[in-house]
Order: sequence, then structure tokens, then C-alpha cells
Amino acid sequence: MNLFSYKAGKAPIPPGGPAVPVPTEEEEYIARERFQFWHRFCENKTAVFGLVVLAIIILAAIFANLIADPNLVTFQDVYSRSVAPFAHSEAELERIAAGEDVVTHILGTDGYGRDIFARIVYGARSSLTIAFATIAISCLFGLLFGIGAGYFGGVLDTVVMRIVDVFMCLPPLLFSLSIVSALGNGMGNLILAVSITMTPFFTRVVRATVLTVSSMDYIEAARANGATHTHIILRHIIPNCLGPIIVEATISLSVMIMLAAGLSFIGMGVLPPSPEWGAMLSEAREFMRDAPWMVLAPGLVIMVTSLSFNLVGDGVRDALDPRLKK
Amino acid sequence: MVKYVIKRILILIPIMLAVSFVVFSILYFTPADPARIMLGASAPQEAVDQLQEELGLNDPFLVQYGRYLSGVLHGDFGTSYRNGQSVFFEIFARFPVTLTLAGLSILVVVVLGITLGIISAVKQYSILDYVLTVLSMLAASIPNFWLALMMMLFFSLQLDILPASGLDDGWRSYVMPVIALSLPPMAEVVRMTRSAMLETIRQDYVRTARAKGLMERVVIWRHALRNALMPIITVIGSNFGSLLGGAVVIETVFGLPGLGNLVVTSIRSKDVPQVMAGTLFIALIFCVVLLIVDVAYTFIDPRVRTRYLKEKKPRAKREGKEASAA
Repeated sequence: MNLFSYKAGKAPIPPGGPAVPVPTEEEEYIARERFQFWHRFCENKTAVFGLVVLAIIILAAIFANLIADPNLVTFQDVYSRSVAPFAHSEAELERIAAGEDVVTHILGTDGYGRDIFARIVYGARSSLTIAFATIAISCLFGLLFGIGAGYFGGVLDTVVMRIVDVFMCLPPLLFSLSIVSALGNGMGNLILAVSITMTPFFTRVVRATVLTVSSMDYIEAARANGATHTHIILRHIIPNCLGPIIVEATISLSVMIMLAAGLSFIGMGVLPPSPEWGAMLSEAREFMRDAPWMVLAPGLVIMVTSLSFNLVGDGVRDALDPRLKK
Repeated sequence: MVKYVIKRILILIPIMLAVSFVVFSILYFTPADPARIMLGASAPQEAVDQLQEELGLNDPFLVQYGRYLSGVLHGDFGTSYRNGQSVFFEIFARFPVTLTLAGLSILVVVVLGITLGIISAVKQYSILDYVLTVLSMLAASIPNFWLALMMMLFFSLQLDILPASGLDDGWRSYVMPVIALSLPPMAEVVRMTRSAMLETIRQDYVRTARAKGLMERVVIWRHALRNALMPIITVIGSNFGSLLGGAVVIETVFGLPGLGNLVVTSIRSKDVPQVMAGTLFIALIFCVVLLIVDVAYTFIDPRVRTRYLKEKKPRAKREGKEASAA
């Protein structure tokens, strides 16, 4: 089904092809809702701006190999350390004089002579992978526990929520930090650690939403019709809970970016040679006095990414529930 | 009222026990070899094995946890693997630094955040409101460690008016860490205060207060703000967690001898008892703040107060209310 366009009641008939089934009333309703959601989202200029920026970042991450040479990411040019943006080192000037092709470092090089632009572009891959993977994992488990607690209630609810309470007593970064320290550094472990940290938050959001949805009349009606728990959860609870969860997930993506960058910054995340924005900042600290561009670029990228996630998240929230809009 | 506060304090004990269990089980998997750390790399394997046996590191997990717990209850938080001293000395020396840092930051967050939020709401759609909204959107997306680095670059390296690290300059050492730590949560508080105030300002009782000729200042601070405070306090409480986590990073950046710095350096040197104690104390601060927030609800909102004072209400009814509130 096309997300972004809506034609009421008109089923396109492909010439000569098999007849496309006319959408049922329910499908039509869903399509209309989606269209209205998209329409409301587009009215919000800042949200659209965030989405555009985000799209650029995601595309840059996907097509990183077309934008920057992968060899530059870890290649340490000992003759071109701490080269300012757009400048060339003496060694490079000599090579230019000799008629060779030399890469222009548009964001300069770091203290080890690596091209900062290439590292930032490839760093987007790890940062976005971490952010989306952790969100996917913690949303999944949050849904599982949240629905278990909110829908079935009783002892399960008490047990799950008490455990959540305990986990929420640890500041997120500290909690991730201790998990990474136990598991060891590396991207996989970082994703695992941040996912474990975020799951209680999602469990809470899901449970609260499930509680409101479960008290609705249509759940009662479904149960009276003899629907099984699985049917009610899959067909009624989850679709009606998705809104708040999507909003929470989008806004949390920026938290994830920060958390992962913060952990890598203190040396407890992605291991040094692979490019990661937080780790780049950390490495740049000792050269900060003479080479401020090294700390400028990665930090700005983290900020812009997290800002666009925030803008999109706010836009999604306003579009899903126009009453909240101020 | 007093009874409720005491009850909340008593609940803290099982929660802290559970937190200690969680942290202990995570750190149990840390691939550290304490006997080897204590004896040095050149010690014979037999001596290492013997010490390992003496330390009880070969015992089952629950036995080790039980021993740790009974130690804690006797005031013994364990012995540092590194220097053989009780970890409590180190904690005791560093606790005030973190407390000062977090305390000052939360003070800035509360005072400035709420004030700016009110200004923004009262002068809605003015240039000031617009500037504050954009700035708080930006500030909420700045990674605090990057902000710290940028400030260091400007105030320490360029202007040389604030110390870049350490605690040797009295209050001036705290200026940059407090700004770096408080700005992102402050932005959240400004945004929350603005939207909560906009909602209450349109209520009938605010119009009544204005109609009976109260000064605008009284209307805003006593009638509107008091009713808007609940969501604001929730945001402050939940942001305190990220503030404490941020303190871990900020202390590392500025080289402040606080608990967070202790945890990070201890993780690097695999000093598990020290990590354990540091993490527990940060969690304790967080739990106490959450408790204060919960008690603050009852002070601010008489509706919450009566709910807890009249405990004789049938339980099912109360839970139903909570569910619909969520």
C-alpha cells in the first residue's frame, strides 16, 4: 500500500493486467489516516527540515563508499598530521608540484594523519547502526514486557514493573557503562548494553499505553466475540499502541546517538581504529589547542543528527495527535 | 504525611538491595583477574591461584554476593584491588565533588529552566519566545562532552579565564562543568515549562484570578505555575538521571576527582570493588532524588496528598484511576 498518496475508492486498473481488488472499508480508513498523518507532518516546516537533514545523513551513511574513499578512514599519513581544513601539508605540496593527484582534506586531518571527512562519513554508519539497532531491540523487548505487564496484569505486572523500577534507579549512561565494562568494548557489546539500558523505558511507555487501550470498549467487544488473547494483542492492542511508541522511539534515537557517542568518548564503546564520532572527539582532545577543527566537526555532526531526530520526533508526535500541538 | 515519607524511605532499602544485586551480577562477568592485578604480572601462578582461593573468587556466585552484602551491612564496601585500601576512603573523598557538581547543576536547571520557560510562555509568539524555543531545541541536542570541549577551547585556551581541568581554582573550577552538565536538561525543562504553562494560562481559574484584580506576577507564579508544576517536576526528575550519567563523562573531561571519574578509571584498571561501590553511590543519589520528586508531588498537589493519606480507599478503584490517568 502506498504510504503517501490516497485516492478514495478509485482502484487503479492496470491495462491488461489482473484486476486490482478494490480496497475494503477498513483498508480505506487506514489509507486515509496515513494520508492525513503525512499531510499534518508536512505542514510542520521544522519537522520536514529535520527529515530532510536526516535523509541526507542516512543516505551519506549508506553510500559512504561513493562519497569518501574507504582507504582514507584508517590510512595514517605520517607526513600530513594535523592538516587544517582545505590545506595541504608540505609533503602533499611537493607531490602536487610533482604533478600527482592529492586528496584535499576538506575537514582537515587528525593527529594521526587520517582524513576527518572520510572518518565522519563512515562514522555515520556506526552511529546510525548503533542507534537503529538499539531502538529495534529495546522496542521489541519493551513491547514484549510492556504488553505482558499491561495486558495480562496481576502478578506478572507487579513483577515486571518492580524489576523496571530497579533498573530505572541506575542512570542510563552509568548502567550501559557497567555492562560494557563487563562484556568488553566493541560495537556489538555497545548495542547490547544500550539496548538493555533502554528496554525498561520502553516497557514503561508500552505498559502505560496498553493499560489505556485495554480498557477500551472495542477490546471488550473483541473478547465478547470470543477472540483469543493472541488475536486481541496482534490485531487490536499493538496497532493502537504504535503511535506513542513510534514517537518515543524517534525521540529516543537522539538519546541513543548521544549515549553511544558518550560511551565511546570515555573509551568504553567502539574501539579506536574504527571511526566513531564520540571516539574521534576523544582522540582529538590532546590536539585541541593547535587543531580546533578536530573537535569541531565530529561534535557538530553529533549535534545535527540528534537535532534532526528530535525535530522529526516532535513532528511525528504533533501529527499523530494534533490536540497536543501548541 | 510523615508516615508517607517514612514509608518511601523504607522502600529505598529493598530497591537499593536489588540495585546492588543487578550491579553485582553485571560486574561478576567482568573479565578481571584480581589476584593477578594484586600480585603483579611476574608473580608465580601458584601464588595467584592461592590468593584467588583466599579471596573467595572460586566460590559460587550467590555465595560471593552474600559475602559482599554482609560486608556492606557491616560498613565494609570491599577492598580495592589496586591499592589494598578500603574502597570507602576513595568514595568518601570523591562523594562531595559529585554532589556539589550535580547539586549546582540541578539548581541551575530548576531556577533558570523554569524562569525561562515561564517567560517564553507568557510572551508567546514574541521574538524572545522564538529565540528561547530555537535555543532550547538546539541545546537539547548538544552532546554535553562536546559542549565541555568547546567551552574549554574558548574560555581556557583562548581567553584563559577559566581552568581547563582540576579543582584547584575554587568556584571557578565548577563554572564550565556546571554549564556543560546543566544546559541540555535545562533545555528540556524550558520546553516542558513552556508547554505546561501555556496550557494552564488558558484555564478558567487563571482568568478568574486576573478578573478579581490580582497582579499579573501573582497570577503567573502562584496560580498558573503551581498547577503547571507536576509535569515540570517529572521532567526534572527523569532528567536528573541523565544529568548524573553526564556527570560521569563531564568529570572525565574536566579531570574532576568525583565518583564518575572514579568509576571510569576503576573500570579501566579492572578494579571491580571500586566500580561496584562507585556505581552504587551514584545510584543512591539518583534514588534519593527520585524519592524527593515523589514527595514533592504530595507537597505541590493536594490531590496526590489526599490519595496517599486516605489509604483506606478500595485498592481496585485507585488502580483504575491510575490506569486512566496513564
